[in-house]
This record gives sequence, C-alpha cells and structure tokens, in this order.
Amino acid sequence: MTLATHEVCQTPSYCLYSEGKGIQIDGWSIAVTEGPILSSNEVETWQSRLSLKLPTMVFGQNTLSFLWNGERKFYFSAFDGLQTVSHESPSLRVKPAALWEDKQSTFDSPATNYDWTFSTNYGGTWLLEGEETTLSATQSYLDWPLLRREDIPLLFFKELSLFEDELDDQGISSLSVRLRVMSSFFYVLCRFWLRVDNVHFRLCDTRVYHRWKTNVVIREYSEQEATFEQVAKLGIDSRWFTNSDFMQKILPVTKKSAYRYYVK
Amino acid sequence: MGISDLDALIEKLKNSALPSEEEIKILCGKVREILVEESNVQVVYAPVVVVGDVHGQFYDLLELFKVGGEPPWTNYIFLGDFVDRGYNSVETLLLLLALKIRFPDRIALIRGNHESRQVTQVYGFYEECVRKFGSATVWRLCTEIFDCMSLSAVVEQRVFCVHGGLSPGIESLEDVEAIDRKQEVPHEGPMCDLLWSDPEEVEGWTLSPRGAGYLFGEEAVQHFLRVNHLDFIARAHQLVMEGYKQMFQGRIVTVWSAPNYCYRCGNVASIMELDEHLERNFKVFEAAPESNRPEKGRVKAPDYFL
Repeated sequence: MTLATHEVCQTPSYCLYSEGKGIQIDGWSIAVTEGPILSSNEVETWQSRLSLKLPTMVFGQNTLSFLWNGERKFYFSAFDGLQTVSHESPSLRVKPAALWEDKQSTFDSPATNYDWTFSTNYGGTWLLEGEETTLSATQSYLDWPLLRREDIPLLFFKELSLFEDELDDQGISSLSVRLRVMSSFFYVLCRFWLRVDNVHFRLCDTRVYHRWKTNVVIREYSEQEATFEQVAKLGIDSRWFTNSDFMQKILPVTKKSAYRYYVK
Repeated sequence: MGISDLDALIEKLKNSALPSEEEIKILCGKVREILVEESNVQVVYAPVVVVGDVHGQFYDLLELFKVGGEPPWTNYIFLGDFVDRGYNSVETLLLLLALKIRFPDRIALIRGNHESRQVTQVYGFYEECVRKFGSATVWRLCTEIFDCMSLSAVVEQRVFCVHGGLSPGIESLEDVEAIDRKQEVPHEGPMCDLLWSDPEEVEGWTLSPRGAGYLFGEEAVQHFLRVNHLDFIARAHQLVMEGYKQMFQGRIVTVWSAPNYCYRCGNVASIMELDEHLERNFKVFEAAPESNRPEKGRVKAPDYFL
C-alpha cells in the first residue's frame, strides 16, 4: 500500500538506547556519540593529519551514524567535515582588515594555506551509491508539507556540534547536525553556517529524509550566500543576523542539488 | 553608599538577585571614580591569583571564588572578558564591580576585547541587559565603565598581565602607560593589540590570515621581557581545553577560567596562583554542579526544525 504524501504512516515499533544515545526503528539503528572538545594534544595530532589549523572548538567525539540492518550507510563526523575544508586562502577578510592594509607590506602573513572561514559543503560521509541531480532554487525532493507538520509525534531529537570557531570574535563558523526521528520519517539537517560580522553570510545545508516503509533516502544540498550589504538592504533587525534558522529563510540560494539512495 | 550597604549589595549579587537600575547607577559612579585613577599598568603585589576569561558564567565565577578564596582574603587580577557568551553577564560584571569598590586594592580588573560597545552588541551582553532591564540604560552605564578599565598589570615588576598580548607598537611599559585608554577599543593600534593579539609558533610578528590582528612569536616575547626586565607574560583570550597553556618555555601562559565554555565544550578552567616567589600554581576546576545553578545546563528542547 502506498501512502499519499504528507500523510502519516503507522508508527513502526521502536526502541530508544539509554542516555539518549540513539534509536532503533524500522530496520534502522541511529546512533549518537558525544564528548568534549579536543584536548591540546589531540588538536596537534589532528592538525598534522589534516594539514589545517583547526577551529577553536572541535567536537571530535561527536558522531551521528545511520545503520541499515546493522550496516553503516552514512554518518556525520567532525574529522570528515574538516577534511573537506579548502587548503587555499579565501579572499574574504574581516571588517577591520581595511584598516590594516598598510600593515600588509610591513608584516608577513603566516602560512595561509587554509581557509580561515572553515567553509565546507560537508553533508555526511556516504557509504551508499547515489546519483546527483542539479536542482533549481525552488525545486525540492523533500516532502515539505509533512516536514512542517507539528502534530506528528517526535520520537527522538538530537543536536550535535561538530566544530565551531568564533573567528576571533569577528563572527562565527560552525558545522552542526540536527536529527529528528518522527513516527513517520527521520530528518537530518547538517549545517555549515558562516557569518563574518558586517561582511558576509554563508549557509551550506544538507537535508536527509527517509520515510518509513520506503526504500529511498533523499539527500538534498543547498548553498546560500549574500554579502552583509545585500542583507542590510532588506531592512531586517540585525538581531536576527546571529540566527541561522532565520537567515536561512532570507539568504538567496546559489546552488542546489540532490541525491537519491536506495537502501533495500 | 556605605560599607554596610555595599556588603548587602554584594550578598544580594552573590544570591544572583539583580539590583535596581538606580542602584546600578550609583555602583557605576563609584567604580568609575576608582578606575579612572588607575594607571594603564596596574602595580600588583604577590601573592595573587590571576583569572582568565569568565564570559558571563556567573555560577562558575562563584565556584572560582570557592577554589581561589573569597575576596579580600585572596588578591585577584581578572584579565577581562567578564561579559558576553554566557547567560549571566550582568550578574558577573556587577559582582566584580561591587567587589572592586569594596576592596579596590585586592582586585584588579583589566579590560578584555569583549569590554567594548561594538562586541557586546553582537555577542550577548547588550541583549541580556535589554531583556533583564527593559532598556539599554544599564548596558550604556556599563560600557562607560569599560572605557575606564585598566589595560594591564605588572606583578612585583616581573610578570606582565594583559588580556590578549603584545603589540609591535609597544616596546616598553612606558609605551603602555602613554596610551589614552579612555575610549572604545579601537580597530587597530597598540590598545587594540593588547586586547586582541595571540601568541603563535611564528617568527617575530605576523598578521592573522583573517586580515586583522597580530600573531606574535617567541622572539617578540623574549624581546619584550628583556627590554622590560620581566620574567613572563600572563594572558587570557583563548580557550584552552586544559584550563591553561604555557608556551615558549613558559615565557607566556594562557589562563582560561570559563569551565564547560558556552555550557557545552566540556573543558576545565583554571586560575593561576602566584606565590610570594612568583612560582606558578595552577588550580584547575570544573563547572559549578547543576544543583548550584538555577539556570540549569543547556539541554536543547526538541524542536521541529526544518
């Protein structure tokens, strides 16, 4: 029997792991590990393995894994996310940089063979084969009416930070993953969020969606970006600038694509 | 405001009760009188406890006083970043200001880069003031106090204490003295550098890849210590998982005093005791237990995020 979209299905039987470490439902095991930020020694090890200066807060033990019939199909981790950070220095600079231009000739910049904004399109590490489709800004494979329904029971929720950097108090760069397991589906949002104060906004969102009793996992990726100037023209209260959920609604989409994976 | 009023106010603040706007106005007036008279390089005597960033983690500050000793029984230098990020910047700052008025010679408050109008408008303190008092008046009063805060301290003429680090525009302590500090933290120049720069494994002086801010290496540290006949530098400004970090053969030490930073990093914090011989003893401590923090840890409520 197939269900019409945005209708709920009967809740499959499920079992929660103790201490909020995950859930088993409809053939899936969704497992969480959590820990503090990396120690100074771990930072050094990771830096040499990644050839990258690390963000100030790296939650190296935080992972979210999805197993289908006991086999890992995809997962989210800080290390894999950092592996995708570019080794080229971006042209983006913090706002006060304009006042520092005269010092560029007097003082060296250190080896800038990394992207200090830690920008990444990381949307999980996938052990499934899928084909990428380019989407237009308004297209989506996700069942938005169902995702928006707040009357459906939420069985399990988790938010994990993978890394975060305060950009020397000039903004924020963060990679996080959120999960909600509902009576009808699971839904993941893996988000890279960059705000360089008074300069730039960037969001790279990966959404993962699977409805119980189907064999499809949908992964959708979107990039949104705007300069501070562009956003300022919209006349929004600057208090919202620190809220990525709000900014997601107003930043223009610059890139969008999707994958479909079959698990059964 | 007499001593008994002040003691009552301190007690009230320790119980995390908020003073009225009128009381805060008086408090700020008093502390201003003390701070403006202070030099850019505060003279401090050992033994003393050096404290790094606190960032509005009020209940952890109370924990810190348990670990280090209550003022005035312990002499303190706070290296700035009292506000922003944490939930209780107002309580944290007001308690420190009240203690400063009550025991001016037993507590030194050094300005951090967050003690600024611009930074507090983005990172929490402004919003907290508006939320707790219904207007920006308290925030405005406090930012005027920020402008009066000293920029550094020297313990027994041997240990230089500052929030961020050194500046290529500063050769000697006299250069620090010469700064006109009573202003918003500038975006560049020596005063900015003292509050913003970081030590790093680099040669001499380099610019941050972000386009503003200096990174200084061992050579720069050794040079500054030699010129000014100092033993080492104590600074804060950077999160350290272990609570403190010594670099360049101990010539510079970072002290971090906000445990479980932002209520989720899982790091420990530390304070640095300098005894009468200026020997360092780091006291490491964890976040105040849940039972001692009415606001509770930040367990995010499930939400129907999209």
